Amino acid sequence: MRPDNRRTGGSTPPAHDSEVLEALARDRLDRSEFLRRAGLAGVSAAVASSFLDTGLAGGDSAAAASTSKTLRYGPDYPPGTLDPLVNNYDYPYPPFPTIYEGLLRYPPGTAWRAVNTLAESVERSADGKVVAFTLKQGIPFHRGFGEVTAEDVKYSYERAIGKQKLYPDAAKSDAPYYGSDFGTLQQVKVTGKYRGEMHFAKPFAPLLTLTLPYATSGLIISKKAVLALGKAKWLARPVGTGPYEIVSYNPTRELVMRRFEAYGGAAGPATSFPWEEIRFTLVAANAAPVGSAKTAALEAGDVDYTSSIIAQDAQRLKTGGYEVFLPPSPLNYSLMFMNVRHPKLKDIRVRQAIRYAIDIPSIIKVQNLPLNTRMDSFIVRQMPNQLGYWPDAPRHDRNVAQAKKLLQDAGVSSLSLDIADPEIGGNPNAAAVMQVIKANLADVGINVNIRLTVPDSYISNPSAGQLSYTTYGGGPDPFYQFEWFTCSQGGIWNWAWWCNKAFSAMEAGDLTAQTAVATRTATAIKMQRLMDKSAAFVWTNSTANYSVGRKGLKAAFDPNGNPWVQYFKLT
Amino acid sequence: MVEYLLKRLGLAALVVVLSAVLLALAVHLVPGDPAKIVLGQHATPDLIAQVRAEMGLDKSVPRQVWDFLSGALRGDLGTDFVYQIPVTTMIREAAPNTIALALMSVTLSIGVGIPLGISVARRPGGTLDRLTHAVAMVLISAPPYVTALVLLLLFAVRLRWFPALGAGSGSDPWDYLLHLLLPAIALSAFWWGYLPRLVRATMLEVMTAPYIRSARAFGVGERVVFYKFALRNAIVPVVALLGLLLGYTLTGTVYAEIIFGRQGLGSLALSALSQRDWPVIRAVVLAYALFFTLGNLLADIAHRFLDPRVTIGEAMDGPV
Repeated sequence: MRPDNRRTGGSTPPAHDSEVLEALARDRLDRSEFLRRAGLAGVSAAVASSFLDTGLAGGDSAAAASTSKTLRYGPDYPPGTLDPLVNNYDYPYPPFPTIYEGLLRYPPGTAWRAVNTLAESVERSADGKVVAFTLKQGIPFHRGFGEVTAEDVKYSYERAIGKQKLYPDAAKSDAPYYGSDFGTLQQVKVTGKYRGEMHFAKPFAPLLTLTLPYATSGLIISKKAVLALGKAKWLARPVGTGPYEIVSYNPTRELVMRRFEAYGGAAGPATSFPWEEIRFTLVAANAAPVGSAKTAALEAGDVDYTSSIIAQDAQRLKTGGYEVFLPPSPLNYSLMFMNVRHPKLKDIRVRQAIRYAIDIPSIIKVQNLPLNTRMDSFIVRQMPNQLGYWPDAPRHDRNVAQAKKLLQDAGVSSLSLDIADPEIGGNPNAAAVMQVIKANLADVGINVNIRLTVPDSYISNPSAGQLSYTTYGGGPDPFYQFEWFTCSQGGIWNWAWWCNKAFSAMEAGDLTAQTAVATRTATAIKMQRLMDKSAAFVWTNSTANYSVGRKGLKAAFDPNGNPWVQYFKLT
Repeated sequence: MVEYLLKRLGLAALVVVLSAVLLALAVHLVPGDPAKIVLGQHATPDLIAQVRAEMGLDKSVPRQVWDFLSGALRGDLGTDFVYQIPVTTMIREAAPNTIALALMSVTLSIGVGIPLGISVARRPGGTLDRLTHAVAMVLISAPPYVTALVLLLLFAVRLRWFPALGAGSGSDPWDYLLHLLLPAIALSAFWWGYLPRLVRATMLEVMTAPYIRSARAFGVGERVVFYKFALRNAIVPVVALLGLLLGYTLTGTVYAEIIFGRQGLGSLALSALSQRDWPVIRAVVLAYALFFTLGNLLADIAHRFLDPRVTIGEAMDGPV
């Protein structure tokens, strides 16, 4: 407890209670012991009232409340199942990179640098259709399921593309979510105990930038474990090679992991992971506490780290001695769609007018984000190797006069439009952002109705939805960013219903089938030009999330802001 | 009494069946495609069709209603699509926490509210009466989520007397109780304001009744008049209110579970709603409907027991 936060005042406690109070004030007495003693001593209301002025607890107290060997993380949303192919994330959000490892990974830090993990080497053939791998030897799976072999890699990847059943007792409807992460993978050939080859119908460039080092679908599981355990037991306690193994998993309550004593060292020596135990408090998705209630568990000393807190709480806690983190997530982005097939928005001049009317810095400010999160092109410069970045992308600054002129040219007056975030929870600040958009468009004579809940037809019916605002997650390859805007995604994730056949052809063609960075970047720029020309999208900002830890906790994040809990440290 | 019981049971069963039918239909009334929300960003037309088929959404509406009703009667409420766990398992894990919270809250509400009401009725206009009158306004006006937040910030964050997060472990009763107290108090606070005023008013009204005057005239002691003759009649409206109290408490558990990060039916329902996880939504709401119907049934029976003049019509006019 911070001495400078204490205030004096209140009634003086009776003599027999003063010892209890002092011990509490020194944090030498935990709450259970206090209540026991208080019950025995009959602590009076006057005593209680004297506590009201003991001041806010700081990060120091949180540290005192737990051991340094257990990291308590949360409350956070559960990932659904912990199967790499059937989960809510498909990106390296905890606990996936803690339990599992892939052939490659992007280590924590700010630079995108894929390094070998389970793989000794990964090499793509000259024609790009074969990717050969050699595994490190002697890397054990958890719980005695043997060492990693090429058979496990074959099983993991062929399971992803549907060539192997998800579980030996899989129902007909059990299907992997993330098969598209492997493009045109046809099979994995085992050429030795530790060697294999992935064979593709045509080259799939994102494999080495996205699938193997980043996506959960690239993580390796134990074939022997899945076959031995069956669906229910596998999902209850799956098996990887990561530095921590699962002790228990209750999706709406808690995930407990302990250090894997026989860790094979694929990502460094076992001693580099300081925690004996990592406990995640899990709260049913979207029922998690928000605002100050979100940080209450940390302030009460019940957890050591919590993520996705609001800026005001971050500021308050920083002054209270806690560690506050704001790792950028440059590849995640917020955007506004304009439905090009809606009669009110069919005229491109109307869409251009709306784009001119919107004040992006105001949208960023209302989310309490730094102004440098503004996107200067759809594929941002922070993409690995600046792959796909368009440095000369036009910047659409606010120009009310130009917007009015375009509307006048289009012969549009007294226009009224709906706006919604059809994906519930897509962006927690969506309501505030939509208010800004409403005010911006009012300046050019467009009335906007904010609809907080909309039926599914808002997306699925091309003549229903009008404006939509949300946030999408991104990945370290332009393929991941572009894939939602093809013709086939109309009514699913392409809420603009914009369909450009050349764009879709490039997405399925040169963007993924060419492996040279320069060629792929040129393709990505062409695709961005088409998107920009359509005026169907307004890119507003990339995202960043505040998180906070107890005093002395040093958190670690990958270049897109995903926390890697095994690298958290106490200093 | 038997006829009354049978009628009341029949009505309760009808309410549960109608609730189940409405729940089966609700999937078509709420916006959002459940299959797409479950699949997230990697939804493809094929996967969406597959999950819709798994959810039974490709069948006719009457068939969906029948499947749900017949499944519920067999104890098969389907499988959760997000966690791939049988829904009955999820309900079995979550319900004890919610029931414990509701029972603790009802116990605290009655255990504090009624004795306090009796105390102030003994000395109307006294210091305690004036104090409870003033405090009651505050407690009645505060929504349970505000009370919960205040309690959380004061007693968990600031004073650290109670845990802020979770439901605790059943293997450690003391820990479980500590996790239970703040949320239960948050739900009871409203009734600590309301029940004393109600008990006071009914007691004072009964105390002016002719039979009380007669008892006093016969020389019956004041304590006997107050606790034996007056209290029994004064308590009848309070018992009639128990159904409402239970309903308020059950709905309040949703706020309490979210604010305190407790595993329970309320947090499960909210999560399932946002994910359009229909098997879970239907099961949780059905469980709430069952608890609510059962609570009202018990309250009505108790009411009838205390006042045999009560008929079905009167009971139904009450706060059911």
